[in-house]
Amino acid sequence: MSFSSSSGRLPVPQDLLAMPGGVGGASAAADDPLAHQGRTRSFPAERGQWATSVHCPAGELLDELGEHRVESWRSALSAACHGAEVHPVDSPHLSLSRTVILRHHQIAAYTDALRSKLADSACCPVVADKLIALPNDDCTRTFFALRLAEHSAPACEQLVARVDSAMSLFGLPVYYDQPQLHVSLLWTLGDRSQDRSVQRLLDDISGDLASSGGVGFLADQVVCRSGNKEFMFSLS
Amino acid sequence: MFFYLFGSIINTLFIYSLTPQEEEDLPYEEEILRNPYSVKSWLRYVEHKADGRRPVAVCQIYERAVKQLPGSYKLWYRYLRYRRLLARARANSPDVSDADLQAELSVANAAHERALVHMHKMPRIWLDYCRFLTRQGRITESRRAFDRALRSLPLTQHDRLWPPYLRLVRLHAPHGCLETALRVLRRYVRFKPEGREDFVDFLLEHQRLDEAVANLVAIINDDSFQSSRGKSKHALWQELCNLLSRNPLEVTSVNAEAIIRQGISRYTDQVGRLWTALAEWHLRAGNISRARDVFEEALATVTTVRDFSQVFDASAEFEEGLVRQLMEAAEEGAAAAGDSEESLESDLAMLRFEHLIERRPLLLNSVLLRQNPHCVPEWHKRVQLLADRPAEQIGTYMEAVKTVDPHKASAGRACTLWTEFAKFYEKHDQLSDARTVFEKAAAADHRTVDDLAYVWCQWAEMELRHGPPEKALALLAKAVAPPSHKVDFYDRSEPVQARLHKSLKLWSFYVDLEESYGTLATARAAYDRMLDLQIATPQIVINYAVMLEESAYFEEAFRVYERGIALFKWPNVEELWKTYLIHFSDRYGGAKLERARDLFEQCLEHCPAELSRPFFLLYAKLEEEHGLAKRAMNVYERALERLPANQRAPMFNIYINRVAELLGVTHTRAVYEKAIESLPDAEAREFCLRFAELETRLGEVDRARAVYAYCAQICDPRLHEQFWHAWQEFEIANGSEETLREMLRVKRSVTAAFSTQLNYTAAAAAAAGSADSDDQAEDSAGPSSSDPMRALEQQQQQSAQPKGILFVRGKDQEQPAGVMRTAPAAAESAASGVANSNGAGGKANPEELQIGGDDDDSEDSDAGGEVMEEAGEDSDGGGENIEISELPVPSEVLGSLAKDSDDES
Repeated sequence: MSFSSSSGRLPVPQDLLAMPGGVGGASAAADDPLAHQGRTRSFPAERGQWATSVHCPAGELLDELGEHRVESWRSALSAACHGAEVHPVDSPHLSLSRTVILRHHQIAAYTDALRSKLADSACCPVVADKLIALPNDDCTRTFFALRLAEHSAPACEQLVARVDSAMSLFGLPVYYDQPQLHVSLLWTLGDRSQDRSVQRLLDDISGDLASSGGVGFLADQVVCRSGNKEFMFSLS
Repeated sequence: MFFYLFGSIINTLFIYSLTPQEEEDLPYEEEILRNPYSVKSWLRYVEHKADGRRPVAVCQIYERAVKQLPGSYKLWYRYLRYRRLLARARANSPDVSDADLQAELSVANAAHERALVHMHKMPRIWLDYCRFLTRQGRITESRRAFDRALRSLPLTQHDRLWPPYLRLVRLHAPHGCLETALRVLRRYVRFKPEGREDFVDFLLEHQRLDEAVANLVAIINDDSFQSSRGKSKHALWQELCNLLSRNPLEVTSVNAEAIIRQGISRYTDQVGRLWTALAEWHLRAGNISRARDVFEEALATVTTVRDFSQVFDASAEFEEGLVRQLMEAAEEGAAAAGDSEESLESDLAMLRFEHLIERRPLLLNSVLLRQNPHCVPEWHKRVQLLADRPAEQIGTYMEAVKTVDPHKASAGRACTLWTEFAKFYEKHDQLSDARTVFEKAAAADHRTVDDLAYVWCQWAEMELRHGPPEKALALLAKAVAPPSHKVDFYDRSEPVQARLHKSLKLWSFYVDLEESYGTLATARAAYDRMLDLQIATPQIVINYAVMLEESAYFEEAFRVYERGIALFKWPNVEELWKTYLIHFSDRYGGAKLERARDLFEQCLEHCPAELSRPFFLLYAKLEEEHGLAKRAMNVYERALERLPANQRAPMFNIYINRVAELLGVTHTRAVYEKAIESLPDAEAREFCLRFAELETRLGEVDRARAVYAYCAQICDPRLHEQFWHAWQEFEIANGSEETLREMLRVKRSVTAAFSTQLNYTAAAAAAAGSADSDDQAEDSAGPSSSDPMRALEQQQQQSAQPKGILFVRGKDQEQPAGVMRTAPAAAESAASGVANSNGAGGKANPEELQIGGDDDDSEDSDAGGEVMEEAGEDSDGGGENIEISELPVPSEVLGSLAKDSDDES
């Protein structure tokens, strides 16, 4: 029997390591970043763990901006990032929470809680007037997002607070302390938020946006996405 | 023709110069002349001659006969026999010289040889010749004769030759003829393979071990061999192995080791012995290290404890012997010159010996594990045996989890191997490795879901011991995650991992942790899932509800109760209902009375009668405290209807107490009446007494008396003295003489009523034995009228009594009338007027008579006359005779009253 030994520690038999096992091992092993444009998971996909986030869909915003404008931003940003590929976000949305992990048996209870918390929330008009670069928590990706204008933020922050209260019921992390409410449109790998050229380009675009009065949409529903399930909550 | 003529001329010539004896021979000679080829005539001649006087003549005639008829077996046989007898007679006679004897013998032998020229196909002749030679002690000649015989006779007749031949060679083998004997025996074995065993014995006897072993091997290899001594192949094997192991140097023709090893593989029941034999073989061959190797190999392969101890003992003995030998040598060496090398060697041997002894438990454990590799406790034991060698412990654990098939595991759960393995790492502060073990354990096969759940729980407990509870929580949450497809918990074809998410054990632990470390919402989610999966127990439901109540979610808690109640059936749901109702009443009191009532009704609707008591009490309490007294009473009424008989009495007690408290004492009357009516007698008596007491207290003497009178009907005075005593006390205190008398009258009639009942059992009789005189009177008088059997018995007893009191049955026994008449007169003069007082006259009813035994009556009527008639009338009078002497007890109790009544009358 061979052992993989390290100094001072008791060895672990190789046979043991060779045995099948490791929880959710099969799905973790199948995780290949190349399969999804180089993105890495911040937590492993595991049976029973449901990645959950709450957001307002912002498809209307995209319509208002127009496809060609986003496309032009994309190519410009790609150039500013020294040719790094910049991808459009599949379904633009206004995030109201972090991505948290729910257990399967908690989903129903959580959505119930969320429903009751959002029960008497009103629709809020959202106006964005600035394009900014935001890195994710572990700085593996940078999002280029439209930031909400000062005047439209408070209404949304109220929504965030309600969602947070539902989160804390389940002992889950709440949203960032000073939320930068935004709608992500594009993303690229790596942390590009500090790039001078990118900053300059973003400032230019923001200036254009601000001068045209920004773009906006009406957030009239909140979606809780948990794994592959979606729960809609309409706002009054 | 010429020859014939010549012969007859000679014969004729003889005739003319004859002795008288020869003259007697003449007719025979003539007959021979006439019939020279007739065996009969020759034999007749021999017979004529064989008078023992001249054996030579007989021989001559035989010689002539066999010359004439050389092919006649009959003649040769007789001739040879005659010769042999002659020789024997010579040998036995003391006055024959040795030379003469030898000459005689050689002539006889020559005759045999001549006979064999013609008779060489005759086994009898050969046998006789051989035997004759043997007897003469001519070894070589007899051997040759045997050999010639074997050559001449066909194979089928060799059977007859071999036994004497073998006897011969065996006889002479020890005296320098061993080689010859061996050669003969080898030939014999070729002729008759069954004789091998004997041959082997012979060889062993003469220390020809190598050949003996070779022959044994041949025997064993011969599948068709049938032992003439009934030995089995197995026994032969053993013999062979013994031979081989004892004589390693002598046996060179076969490969002893190969043979013994084959034996080991073939005869599993002799493994220990055979291994020892093999080692011994090496040892005797002087190959000590090989012997040690063999011992080691044996210890590592035997599978039974018996073989193991056999081999181990032999091995230990061997090592010990070695040590002793070396020590002795060393001592001698030391005496000669101090040699460090020798002492080193003996030290090494000593160490070897100690090492062997130390390893014994471990080796034994190995044996047991080889025997049953799925024996979990043995694996644990092994780990313990290796206590100070962690690397080997790890190896053992690894081997255990790899080897043990959880489905075959005996005397323990295979999952404990995994958890102990992980705990081992935990003990050595290698948490990550412990986690690895748990991970593998979670993926490994287990016999039951419970086993897997045990692994997970142990894992979570470890995480709890060493880190933030969130880790344990996350772990358990992972464990209870449902699989991607729907699985039946009891479907054995599914792997346990797929069924784990419905494990009650796991969920219980999980909700426990959620309750302690999670938030209320997460705990609720977990509990809800448990209820959804239908794996909750009533206790879990209660825990859930209590948790909600503690967090002031009362309505939620009640909803949980409702859910739980819907899940379970009676009687499992009892505890749930109880908790629910108590908590509900505590919470709302009278605020939601209608709802509470609904709940109670709902609960009682399906509740089995024997379990319903606490619910009725709760219900009644609720009604008393918050509702209407009348409703409470209703509840009690319902309870009394519903409850089984044995639970009713305590309920009546409570009911009466409550009624007295709520509605006043007078209202309890109805309850008492109902109790007395519906309860069984024993309990009804209690209630009667209490009821009567109550009435007495209330001053309702008549009512009380009525109660007593009613109850009297179920109180046998023999058994329920207490009641009668109580009544008497009551009458003394509250009644008049008349009522007292009435009571006594009732008592009598009740006694009478009970006395007619046959179920007066032995126990009751025993109880009554110590009781009042009433009972004795009853015993002697009552049954005689009611029970014929008893009457007969009594009769028997009385007839056995001494003569002096025989008057009792005087009439029957034809005693003189005078005796019969006078004796009762003396005895009965006092007993008197039973009949009078009852007014029954001479022909009194026996039962009445017995009632009349009561003291009051007798005192009432002590003026009565006509004793004689009465006593003579019935044998019962004898009984009364006894009664009177014992009756005063009650009369003392009622002394004054009785006197009063006397005065009145």
